[in-house]
Amino acid sequence: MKIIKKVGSRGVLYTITTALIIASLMALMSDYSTRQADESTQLTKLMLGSKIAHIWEDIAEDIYDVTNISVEKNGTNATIYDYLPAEYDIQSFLILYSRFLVEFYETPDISIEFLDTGGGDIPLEDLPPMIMILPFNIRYHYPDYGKRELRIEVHTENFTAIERITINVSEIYPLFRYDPNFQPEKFNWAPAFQPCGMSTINCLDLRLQFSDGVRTWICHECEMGFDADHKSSLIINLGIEEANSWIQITLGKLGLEERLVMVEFLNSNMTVRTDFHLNTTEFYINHISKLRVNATTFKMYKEDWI
Amino acid sequence: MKKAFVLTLDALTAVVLLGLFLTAMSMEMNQTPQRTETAFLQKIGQDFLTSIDKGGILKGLLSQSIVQSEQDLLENMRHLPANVGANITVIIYAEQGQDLVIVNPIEMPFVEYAGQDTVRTIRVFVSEEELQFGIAYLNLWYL
Repeated sequence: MKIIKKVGSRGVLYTITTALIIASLMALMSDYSTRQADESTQLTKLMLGSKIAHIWEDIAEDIYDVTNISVEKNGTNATIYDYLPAEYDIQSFLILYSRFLVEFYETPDISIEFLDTGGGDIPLEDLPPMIMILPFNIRYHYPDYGKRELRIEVHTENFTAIERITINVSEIYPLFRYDPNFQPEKFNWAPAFQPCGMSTINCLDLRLQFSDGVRTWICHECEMGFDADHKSSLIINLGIEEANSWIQITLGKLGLEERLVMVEFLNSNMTVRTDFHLNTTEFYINHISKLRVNATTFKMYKEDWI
Repeated sequence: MKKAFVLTLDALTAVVLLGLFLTAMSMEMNQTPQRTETAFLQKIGQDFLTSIDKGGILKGLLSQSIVQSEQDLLENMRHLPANVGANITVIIYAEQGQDLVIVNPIEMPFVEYAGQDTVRTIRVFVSEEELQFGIAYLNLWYL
C-alpha cells in the first residue's frame, strides 16, 4: 500500500513537471512566433519605406530634368543652372512625363501625387515655374515655362541672409553687336547705376558677367554693391541691327517690397548660372510644389517639397 | 502493465511535442535570414540604379548605339557584389502621336538567371535633349 502511494505521488510530480515544461515550451514558441511576426512586419515596412523613398527621390530628380533646370547646394552656396528661353515645350513634356509615370511607374500598391502649397492635388503640368530658396523666400522664376523672362526676387527683410549673388550669363547668341571699338564699359545704365552709399538701406553685393563666347562684359560698377531701393536698366544689343536682338537687365526695385534682378531678352538665347552665397548652410532649394508617394499598405507615404 | 502504457504514452506525447517545437523553430529560423537578404538585395538594387542614373549612364543610353549601351551597362554591373546575380532591362519610350512607344529595348544579363528568388528594383529617367523617357528594371538574386 505504501509502495503504491509512493509511486502515485511520484507520478503526479512527473506529470506536473511535464505539464510545466510543455506549457513553458508552448509559451516560448508563442512568444518567439509573435516576435518573428513583428520582425517580419518591421522588415516589410522597412523595405516599403525604402521603396517609397527611392521612388520619391527618383521622380523629384526627374522633374528638374524635365524642366531643364539644374540646382546644386554646396555649403553656404546655392547654384542654379538654366537655359533661356526654353529649348522645347516644357509644359507638354511635363504632361508626357506625368502620363509616363501613370502608365509605367505607378503600381497597384504605389500611387504618385503632386500637391500645391495648400496640399491640394495638382496635375504635373500646373507645377509653378518657380524655384524657391527657403526659408529666405528667394524666388527664381519666369512668367511661364517658355522662360522668356527671368526674375530673381527677394523681400528686403531677407537681404541680411544674402552675402553675394553672382549671375553669369554665357553662350549668348547672337553675339554682342559688332563694334570695331568694342568698349564694354560703354554699356550704359539708365537710370544711372546707384552704388551703395552712406544713406543706403538695402545694399546688395551683386556680380554680373555677360559673355557671348568671344567677348565678355563684367559689371565693374557692381563691385561697390548696388542700392536695391533704386532701379537701373541696361540694354545689350546683339547681332546685326536688323535682327532686333537684345538683352535687358534691370536691377533694384521690382515691386513694392521686392528687389533684385530681371533679365528680359528678345530673339536671343543664353545659358545662365546664378550663385547665391548665403550666410548659412540652413536653407533648401525647392520647386514650390510637393510630391507625395503613397503606399496602399501600412498607410506609409513620403510627402515633401520637390 | 498499466504503468508501462501510461509511461509510453507520456514519452510519445513528449517526443511529438518536441518534434513539433523543433520543426516550428527550424522553419522560423530559415525564414528570417531570407527576408533580411531580400531587403539587402533591394537596397543593393536601388543603390546601383541610383548611381548609374546620377552618373549619367542611363541618360547616356538614349543617345548612343545599343552595342555601346550594353558595354556601359556591363562595365557598371561588374561593380555589383560577387555573390549576386543580375540582369537589367532598359526600355526607352518616346511620344508618337498620342502614344508612348518603345523606341529602344536593351536587355543585359550579367549572370544567366538560374531560377533563384529574385528582387526587382525600378528607376525611371528622362532625357531633355532627346525628349524621351527610360525605365530600368534590375533583377537581383543570390548566387
